[in-house]
Amino acid sequence: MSTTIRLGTTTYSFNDEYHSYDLSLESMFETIGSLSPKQGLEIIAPQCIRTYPEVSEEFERRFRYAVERYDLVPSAFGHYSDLGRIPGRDLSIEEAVEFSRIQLEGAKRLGYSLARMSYQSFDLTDRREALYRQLLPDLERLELKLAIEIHAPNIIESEQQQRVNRRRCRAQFALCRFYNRLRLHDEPRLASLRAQVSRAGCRPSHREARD
Amino acid sequence: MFDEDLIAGQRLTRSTRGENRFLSFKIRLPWYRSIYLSCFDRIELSVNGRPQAEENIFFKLYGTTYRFSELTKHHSVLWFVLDPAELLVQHDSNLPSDRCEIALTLFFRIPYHRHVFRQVSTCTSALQLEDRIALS
Repeated sequence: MSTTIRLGTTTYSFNDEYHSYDLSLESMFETIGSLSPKQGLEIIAPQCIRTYPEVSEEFERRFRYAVERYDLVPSAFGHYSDLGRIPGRDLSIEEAVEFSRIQLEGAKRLGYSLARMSYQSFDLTDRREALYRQLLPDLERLELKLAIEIHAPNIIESEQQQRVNRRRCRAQFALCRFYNRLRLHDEPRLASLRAQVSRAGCRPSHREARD
Repeated sequence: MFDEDLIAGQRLTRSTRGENRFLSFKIRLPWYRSIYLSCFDRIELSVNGRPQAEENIFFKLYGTTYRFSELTKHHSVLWFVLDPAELLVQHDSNLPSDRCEIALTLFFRIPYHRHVFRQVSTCTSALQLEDRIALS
């Protein structure tokens, strides 16, 4: 298995600049594109998309323009399940599926073939009713893959993640690692990532996970 | 996260609506992403050191004013992360003519946590008091 790592950047990395209005959405994309040719781009949907969970035609137009102009590769769509949106209860599975479906259809329109799903949505104790399973027909219809986020303090080698790896099912699932603030030339952290990937035997990059 | 931006701007506006007097100021969502109004379930606000009752606090976003205590009902209204909102507090006390100290703590649920997990954001700011005469 190849362990070639291709770099991508998440818009989460530009929280400070974006929130303080120092960078607009487009200038954030421009900055990401300046890091390297064919830089991968993860967008955090509720950070970037005013009409979240829907992707408006206006956003689609602006996004596609930026991808073309700044030589970006849509690598991961930052999907959120927001299961606790309604006080006092979780969303029903029907509500959650619909909420996710809207985002996944938007991700497809933006040119993504992979969407990130929070580990909160990946129920390890009872996977029969897990959200991702309910989404499989939509994923197949849209030709999308889901990637499970490995969130701090977990790492690829964590016990939780190993359970995910062992139970990984069907081709819809890929595994990728997101570094919130990993920039180019951060060789020590890249080396650490490569070592973790190698030991875990999992697919390391957004781009590879799509293939 | 972004606590220092919670109170946005430098102005505290004093206005009247019917028999009632209000103070209002701009606030920012102190988080990295947009969230639904239903996530906001507690607030602590003091003006010049005097705590204000939650039932006297209102939240205005995109032209609509809500009682803060009723925000939890609005799980389909998204507060986009870049958009300022406005807090209004009904008050009866006399205020000095120039500056007021506002202390605000906002509590909100993280929507993607399946069990209650809150963010707490606190900001204190001295705002310049100004009057707004005409109100709809």
